[in-house]
Amino acid sequence: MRLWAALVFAVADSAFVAEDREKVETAELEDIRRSRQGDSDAYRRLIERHQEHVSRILWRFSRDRLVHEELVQDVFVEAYMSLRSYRAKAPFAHWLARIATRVGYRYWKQTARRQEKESFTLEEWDQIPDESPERVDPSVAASLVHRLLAQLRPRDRLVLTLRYLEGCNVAETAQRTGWTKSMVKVQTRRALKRLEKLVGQAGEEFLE
Amino acid sequence: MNKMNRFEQLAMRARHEAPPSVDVSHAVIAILETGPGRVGIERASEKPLMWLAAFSSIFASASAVLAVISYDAWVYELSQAISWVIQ
Repeated sequence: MRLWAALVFAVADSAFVAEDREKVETAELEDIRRSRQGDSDAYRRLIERHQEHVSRILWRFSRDRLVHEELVQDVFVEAYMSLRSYRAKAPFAHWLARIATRVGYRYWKQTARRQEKESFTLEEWDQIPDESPERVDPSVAASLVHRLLAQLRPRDRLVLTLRYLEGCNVAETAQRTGWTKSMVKVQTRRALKRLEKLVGQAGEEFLE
Repeated sequence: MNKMNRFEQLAMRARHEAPPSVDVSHAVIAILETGPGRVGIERASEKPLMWLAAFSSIFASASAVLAVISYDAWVYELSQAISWVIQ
């Protein structure tokens, strides 16, 4: 009896959740339509709804708070400029994620051209206890991985950031980057080899 | 532990990090409203002005039509009066 009641509650709950999601999507499409017509209040609502998600993506691209905020702004300005090209075939959040990836990658390429590299010492890498990386504070882990990947070329850095930090699979990475799936696979392999070489150097230095 | 495994585990750990909170809505709207080559977004403060301008235009058009009609009537009566005086 209890099992039946739980089942009925679960079904009812999922129906309510689906209904809520539908309402949110309808409201979002309406805001997109109104934003295209130049309604600033509608676009403000879209920004408020998605800025946390965009901020999370761009925190992988820059850990400098000022730069990070500027990048988030750039994403929403670019999104507004190309809002007419949004066809609502995929969720708006996915469309924004692609723009955020493009903006972040462009920033990396600019900093690489200026030859600005974030400081990183291989000793830092070796100081992490071997047996317990899962006990490391997430911020410390993120900072370390960020600075380690900053030693790679922007292309390698992008694919590893998406695959390992964002947890995207091959198809999602292809969508975010605009590359083909086979290109993502090849690029991941190459980037991993370069990373392996880099962390290998850390081991050698440590042994010396 | 393999160094690449360590990288993977650290990356997984890093996923739990919360990014700093940002609120860019005001800045973005300001850029879109006032930035170079303003891109066609309406300012919220412009909305009442737009309505005022629309009503003024409607009122002005109606006044112009009424003015033409009344001028026509007045000219007709004046011409009638002049022709009566001449006769």
